[in-house]
Amino acid sequence: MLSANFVILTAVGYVGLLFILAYVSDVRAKRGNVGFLRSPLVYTLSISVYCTSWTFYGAVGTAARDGLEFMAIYLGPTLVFVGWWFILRKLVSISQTLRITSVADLLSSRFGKSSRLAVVVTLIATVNVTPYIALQLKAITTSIQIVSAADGSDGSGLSGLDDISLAFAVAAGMALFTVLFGTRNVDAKEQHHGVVAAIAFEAVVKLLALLAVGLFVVFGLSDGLQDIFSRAQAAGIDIYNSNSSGSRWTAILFLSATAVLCLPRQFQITVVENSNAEHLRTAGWAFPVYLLLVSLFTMPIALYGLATLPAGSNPDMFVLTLPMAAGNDALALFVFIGGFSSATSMIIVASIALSIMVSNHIVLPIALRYSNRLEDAGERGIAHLLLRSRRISIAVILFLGFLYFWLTGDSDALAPIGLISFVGVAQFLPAMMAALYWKEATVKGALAGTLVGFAAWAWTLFLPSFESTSPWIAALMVNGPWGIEALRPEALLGLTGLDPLVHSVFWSLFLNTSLLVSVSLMTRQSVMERIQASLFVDIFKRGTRIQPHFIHGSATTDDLFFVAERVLGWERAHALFEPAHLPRGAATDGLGGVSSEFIGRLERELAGSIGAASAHVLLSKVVAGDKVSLEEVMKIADETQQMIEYSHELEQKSAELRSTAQKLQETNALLHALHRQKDDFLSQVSHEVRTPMTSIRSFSEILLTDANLTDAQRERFASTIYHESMRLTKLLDEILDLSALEQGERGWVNLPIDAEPVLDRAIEVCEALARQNNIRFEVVSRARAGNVLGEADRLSQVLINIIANAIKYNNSPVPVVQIRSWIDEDHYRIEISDNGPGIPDAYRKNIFEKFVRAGSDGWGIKSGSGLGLGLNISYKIVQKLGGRLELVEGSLPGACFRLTLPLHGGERDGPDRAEQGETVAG
Amino acid sequence: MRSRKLEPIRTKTEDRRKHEHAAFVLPVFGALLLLPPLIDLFSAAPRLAGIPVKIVYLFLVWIVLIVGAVTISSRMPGPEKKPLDLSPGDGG
Repeated sequence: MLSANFVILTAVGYVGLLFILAYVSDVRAKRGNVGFLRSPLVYTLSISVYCTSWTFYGAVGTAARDGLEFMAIYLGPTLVFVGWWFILRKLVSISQTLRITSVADLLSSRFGKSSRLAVVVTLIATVNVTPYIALQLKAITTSIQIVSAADGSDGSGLSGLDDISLAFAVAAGMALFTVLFGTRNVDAKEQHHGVVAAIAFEAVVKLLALLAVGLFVVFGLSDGLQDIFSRAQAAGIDIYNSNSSGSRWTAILFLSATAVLCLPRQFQITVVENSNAEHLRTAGWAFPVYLLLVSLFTMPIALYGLATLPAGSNPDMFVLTLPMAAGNDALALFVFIGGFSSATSMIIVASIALSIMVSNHIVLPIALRYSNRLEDAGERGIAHLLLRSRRISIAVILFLGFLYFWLTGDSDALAPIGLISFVGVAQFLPAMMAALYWKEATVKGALAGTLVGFAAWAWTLFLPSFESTSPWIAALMVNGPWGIEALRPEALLGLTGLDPLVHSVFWSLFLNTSLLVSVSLMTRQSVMERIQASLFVDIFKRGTRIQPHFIHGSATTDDLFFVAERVLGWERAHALFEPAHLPRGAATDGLGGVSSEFIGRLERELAGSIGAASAHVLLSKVVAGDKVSLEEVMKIADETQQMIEYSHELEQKSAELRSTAQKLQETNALLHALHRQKDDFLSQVSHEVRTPMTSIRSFSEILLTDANLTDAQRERFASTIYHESMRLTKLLDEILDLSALEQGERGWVNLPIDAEPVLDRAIEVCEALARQNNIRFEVVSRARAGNVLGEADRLSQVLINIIANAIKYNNSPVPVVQIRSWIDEDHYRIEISDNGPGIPDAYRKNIFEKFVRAGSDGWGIKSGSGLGLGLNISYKIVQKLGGRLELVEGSLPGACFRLTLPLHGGERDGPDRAEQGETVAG
Repeated sequence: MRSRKLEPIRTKTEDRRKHEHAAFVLPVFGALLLLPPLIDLFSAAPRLAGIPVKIVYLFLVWIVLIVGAVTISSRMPGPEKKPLDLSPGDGG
């Protein structure tokens, strides 16, 4: 039998061995001789910090109580590591590139270097890890108790120590170790060679211890596996326990897979302490092998213990009690050391990870905010502050763990804390996955999801763990708070029938994820968030390097160096600044000589020591606070912006092209129409020219050939030839006139004239023609004066043409032509109407076009009296005068042409003479 | 006369892609094998050489996963493909 003294002294000796190992490794590492320490093997072994005393002792207990459920705890991490290429590799690459120091740093960095998120994550991690540390302390004290239980001596020497003092001693010893080797310096990367070496060594010890006890039980105590299983069957032990439902199995598998990513200690070892992402290649299969070996004998040990040990013995301690029952003290001691190893390695790594988070995300931001004595801090002042705060936080964390153990020591509140803590840290998973794969997630979403998930966890799982210690909580669980049954912790909204663990996993992660997603979709990202998001998600994409750099400010190189020195120390700061050839000493205007790339690099270096958020805040103090130049903002706007601009440009171009094509089509149509018009015109003209030419030719032929013509005949023929050639000349004149008008060759200057005398003259000219046709002129009303801009000759040409038309085509028995003129607002109008046949509807639209003669289909007009160009010419002239010539409904049955010209300056006529005209015009 | 079959040309990129897909499929299939309903198949199964089949099954899946991981890990593209490099370069 082992004495308590001996056991405790062995433990102390073992810890001493760890001290030496860690010290030697640190010394070797300092000499740059890290070869073996940084091998994939050591890395893989150190990851086994996952197997704490909870799994070392507790797995057998779980196997004894819940059958195969314990395997889910190992299979989850197996799946994650087997799939290392996807999640772990990305996580490690991001963390190495951006010098991530912890889970809190990872999330805060991704979500725009948010200090708030870092604080939240740190606090949640602390709440989760402290009970876990207490659990390790309990495991150590319990195992010491059991190993030395048979020792008769009591009250003397070390055995006189009770649980509480033992736990306190362990906590203090671990604090000492962690402070010594975990906070030697604030490194560029938070890597601790000594600690990793010790953890790897402990991993070997605990594996060997488990294998040894397994082999001893299976082949020493019994006759192989078959024997154990048949013996268990004979004892009526069924491994297919009804307790382990499918949903609980699934939940545990998921939780363990999550925990290996999110637990602060796992993140520290797997991601932060990783020196080379290539090591994952080995760890991807080697760690599952380690887990397989660890769990190989769990079930046989549990079954053998259940079958052989007296009823009521604690299955959690079978690993230890079986060798003791068999009297194998050496093995029992070895197993104790194995359990001690698993507990201490967890305590060490967890407290390092937590202390980094607490110092970087809680202490430093507060110090930066409230302390103005940064300047007095001296070289590495911030580094010293960090180290001090880290040491203190390690001590505080371990003391908290001890306190928790002390307060809950006698109850069984600690036993389920392993899984409870898994669910707690699983609240980081949604934000972490969003960080790796979803660019749209915002810091508000991450905060909301994490906080609400944490609250749901605390309510549905953490609180109920105190059920047995506090009657108040027990009552709360039965009745709900204030008697609201819907809020009962283990039956939220009346959701019953689920295992409490599954219930909590469902609610917390459901709320967490939904809030993360919905709040992210409802809120906007800051520029910094967007930059960090693409940096995270696109870490493997080359060519998309969006450098997260600072805006140029007015800080000097000296300011920057000052900050760097406070954190990194003179040597490393110098090593960083020297190759960049920055103009030191002289205060350059602005950061003329300091590229924003350099500031970005400096920020990453600082982030490696103090976390992204703090590094950003620290540099902001020096660099930012200046006006952002437009150029810099443009630089920051990532390529998405450029893409948007580019596509916008393309859209504009294509719209331009579309409108150009449209214009071309219209022009083409116009050209076609003009072409047709020209053809029509030509054929019309040839036709018009041909008729007189034909008669001229035939009459002159007769004159030439026929000698028997009488004089009278000859005279008639000559006169016809004369008239026809006159008509031809007139036609040609008109065509020339038209083409001149159309091409604007025959220009005239519009001068202020009075249109009334022009109208008088036109009427006079037409008087003879009217008398010839027995037409009565009716001048209904006249304006006193019509001051318009125009050319008198042209205007009279138009008027004569219209009046002559009215006379010529009037075949009414009592032919009348009415003429009136008046002033209407600022227009001068003349209306000429007749009681002739009028214009048939078919021609009303195109009466002003060339060669349109309304009479061509016959209301007895003297044939050949018009060419159909007159109105067209008049129309064009009026247009050039700036007026309008139109066909309107007049008071007489025939046609009514109205000429409208804008008045020019001067006096207007009173409405007195216009009254009648108004009614006529009606 | 039989027409000669063309040997498909296998490029490095194609190999790499296949390995990546395999690396993705392995954990997904592993998870499917370890979750209900498949896992329930073995809940009331008989014993194999005295050992409950479910235990044998779980360890078998475990070993398959490890062997798969060894195979794929060794074939994944090596470290020459570095991720985004933001580490200090050669100054200025």
